[in-house]
Amino acid sequence: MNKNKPISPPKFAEWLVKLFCRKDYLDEVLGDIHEIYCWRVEEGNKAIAALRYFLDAFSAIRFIRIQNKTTVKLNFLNMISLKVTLRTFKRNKFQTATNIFGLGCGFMVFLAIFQYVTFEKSYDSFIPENENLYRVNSTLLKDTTTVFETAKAIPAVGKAALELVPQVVSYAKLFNTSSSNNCVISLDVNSKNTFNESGIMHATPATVDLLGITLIEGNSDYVLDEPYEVIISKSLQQKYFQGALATGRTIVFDDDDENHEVLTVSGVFEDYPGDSHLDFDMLISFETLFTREEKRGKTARFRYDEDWEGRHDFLTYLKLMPNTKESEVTGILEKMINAPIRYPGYSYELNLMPVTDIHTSNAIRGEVKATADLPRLNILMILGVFVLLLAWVNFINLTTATALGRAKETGMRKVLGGTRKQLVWQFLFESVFTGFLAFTLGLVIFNFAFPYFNEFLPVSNKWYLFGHINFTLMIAGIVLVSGVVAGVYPALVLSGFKPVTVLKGVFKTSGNGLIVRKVLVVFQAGISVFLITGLLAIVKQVDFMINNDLGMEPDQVMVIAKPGNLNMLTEDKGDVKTLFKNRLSDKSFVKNHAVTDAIPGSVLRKKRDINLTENEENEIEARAIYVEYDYLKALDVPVIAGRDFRNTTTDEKAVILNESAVKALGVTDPNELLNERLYEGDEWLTIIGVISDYHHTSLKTEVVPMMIRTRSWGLDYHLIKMEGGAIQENLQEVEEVFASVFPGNPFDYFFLDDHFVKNYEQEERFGRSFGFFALIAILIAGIGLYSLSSFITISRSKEIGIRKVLGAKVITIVNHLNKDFVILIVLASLIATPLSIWAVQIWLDAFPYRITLGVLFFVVPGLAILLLSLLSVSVKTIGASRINPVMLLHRE
Amino acid sequence: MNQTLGALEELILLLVLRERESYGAELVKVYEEHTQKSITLPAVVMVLKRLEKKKMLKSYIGDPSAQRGGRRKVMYEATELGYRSAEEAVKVKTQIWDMVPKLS
Repeated sequence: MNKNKPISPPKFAEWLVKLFCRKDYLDEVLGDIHEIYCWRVEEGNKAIAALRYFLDAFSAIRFIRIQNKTTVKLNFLNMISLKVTLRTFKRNKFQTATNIFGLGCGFMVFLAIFQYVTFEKSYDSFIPENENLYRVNSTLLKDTTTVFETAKAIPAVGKAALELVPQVVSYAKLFNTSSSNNCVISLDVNSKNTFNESGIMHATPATVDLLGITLIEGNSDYVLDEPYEVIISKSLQQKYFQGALATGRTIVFDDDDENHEVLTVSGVFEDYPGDSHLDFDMLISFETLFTREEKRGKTARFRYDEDWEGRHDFLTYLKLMPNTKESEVTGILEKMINAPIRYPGYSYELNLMPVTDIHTSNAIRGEVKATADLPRLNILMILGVFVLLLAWVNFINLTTATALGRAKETGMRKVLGGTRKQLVWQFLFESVFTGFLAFTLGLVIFNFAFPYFNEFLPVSNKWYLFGHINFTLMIAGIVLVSGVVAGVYPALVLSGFKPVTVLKGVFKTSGNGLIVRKVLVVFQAGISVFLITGLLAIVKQVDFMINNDLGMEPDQVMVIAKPGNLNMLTEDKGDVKTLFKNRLSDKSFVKNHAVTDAIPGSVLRKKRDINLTENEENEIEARAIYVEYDYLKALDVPVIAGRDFRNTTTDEKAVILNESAVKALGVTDPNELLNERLYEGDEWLTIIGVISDYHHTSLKTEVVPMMIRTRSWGLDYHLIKMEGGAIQENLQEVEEVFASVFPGNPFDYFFLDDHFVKNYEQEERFGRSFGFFALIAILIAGIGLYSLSSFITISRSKEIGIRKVLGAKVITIVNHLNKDFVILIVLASLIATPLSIWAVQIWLDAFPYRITLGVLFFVVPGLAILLLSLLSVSVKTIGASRINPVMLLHRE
Repeated sequence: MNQTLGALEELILLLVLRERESYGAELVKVYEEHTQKSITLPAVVMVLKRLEKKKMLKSYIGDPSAQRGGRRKVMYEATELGYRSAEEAVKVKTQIWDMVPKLS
């Protein structure tokens, strides 16, 4: 190649460099690139050299970062002046403050609610590979109608699924031990360190991996695979061993089935997350169950792991291969389960429920935790959106109002050469900036109010939402959009004005803007009316349920559960219950002492079919409870016909019904039934008495037909009716007796009336959250009205002045100014009241015993809002009408 | 000497020190000879500008030449600070390397 021939590099690449590179580097870079090109060409291939030259040129794009601003324009940045924004804020201190505060409150409420709802809806998503994890639900069908559906499966399902179905990768099986038995954990055999535990389950080894349990101590590969192994939660480690190393320590497990097992701790796990459908703090190896005694000729291993006809006792989880069809798994298993069924028409159906869906599905039997109350979540979410909307409406209103006050400034800027684009950007920036400030304020308040929120909207982690990038982006989007929308009106309208007209002062609020603002006021007031109605209804209903007559007397009744550890009894095991009763009956403060298998205030589980004849068609369903004598006396339930039980032996075949049962049996006069025979299941009983209906569960459910029978075994709860007075000392005496009769058991008790009120906890919480949010919403509406009225009085100041000069009294002017608002508020109430009454009625319909919506509900919310708005409007209008008219008019 | 040196910055600085004074195109050539890896010119220039900003290099404008299409070149030369920084960086690395257990 001829060296002297000037080599010229591709022109296009050179142009590229020129485009990208900053001017003062251009010469140097181009020269260097040229030189490199030359020696590459000399080295060999011209094509390669050209290619490399292009690479270099493209690579020059990195100089964009330091190039002159003139090359690429980020135009809008030049159009914004932070200084002007801050000056505007300073001049309208009050408006800015209310604006930011109002919107901040709105954001706070929205955040709290949105966070809670999302939390409730994303239960169990912390479990690794949750998309392939399913729980086996069982349904018993009679022909095609469902008899029951339960979260638990029969013993053989888990193991068989793994062995028979190739798509099953692994399975976990849990036995919810402490839900069926009272369990006591002691730290050593003779110690006084005993605890009643309610979070104990037996679990197969695969559980740890499948359910995403994080071990702090122990190895997940071989934990829980030997008998007598146990892993405990971090909190239990703290409770039992004060946080010391737990592995290798032993604890003693006792339950009221007289199982007594010494367990070795082989691991400690992080407390299982609250956002799971499961709740446990101690897992005992499943193998431990297999060591239990043979019963009715069946080994424990068969009873707990291989029985195809066993009880639905086991929460069974299957991990499947991706894209497995449900029927591929359940088909084989259903065949096995239904094979031994001999009753025609009955069959089992298995369903695989994705674990992440469990919390938001309908409640079924055997569920460990209550499932989410979806309607309540939706109401809360709507509330959150409403509050945010309210705040946002305010924000738009205020931004528009203040912007109109800036018409002169806008005109001035235009005269001095400001372009329309510049003004638009400036206004948009200001509203977005305000929105951002408000959001920051909302976050700050949220941060401080979090402990309070967490009481009624419990979430595991304060910044739960910000752990998810999608939600963070969504919130950022909301902030941005609300800012932009609020700024659009002033930006587009104001910047369009002709400076000449504006500066002359011939500037009027456009008719459109006014209508828009009126609609917004109606909207705000309407929402407020709705919220007050809702709040009123919730408070009244909860109050009604707590204070309504239950038909019995739960006050001063103490409940003690049957102790779990029966292995250390000194006396004969036979009748410790009576012993406890006898020893307590000596105490003067004990009025009555009953023993029962179902505490009032809890759900009644035992279903019985009862019948006056043997004809199946007359059968009705009743719930059964079993008691010793004295139950009705202890609870003051009136017997309206016949008599109470005398004792457990003579009345063994006797039964007492409640009024509902009598009615359901088709009899009107309870006395007719006395000494009649009643067919229950497979035996004949004699009806000895009828009691008046009382609420056994809570006022949230209807009174169901009930039958009461007497027996001396299988009764778990002592109900002790006490005299009022020195509760503390009485309790101490009861504790002493308890300790002497049941050594090795912790003394736990509660009072029956508290137990009842717990049923309404959810409603109470709902009421509290609703109340709090409604309060904020109303506050926001108040702020909105106040600032709006201040804007209107300012824009009508001249009118006020003239009216005063012509002799109007203050009161006339105030009335005149308020009239507009009053009309709007009344309109809003008229629209919102029926709507909210309708919504409240839907909510109330879920309660069988509910308040009636009286006149109160139609009048109070509207009046309250009217008063509130008059108050907030009048503050400004009265002030404005008292001013000396000279002050208002001299400006001309 | 609070300013840190990136890996590429360090290498380029060392190359400038070795050549006593140098310019972009030459450095690309030397870099490729030493490391058997290719580099684009703007990458080198970026580093040079950064080093100059950190006062580890100083530059002057050289003569134009035909090979460069009649354009002037900018020559770079290390400052005292540059020398010390390079020395320090290399020393630290050698020290640590000496302490690394050797393979076989």
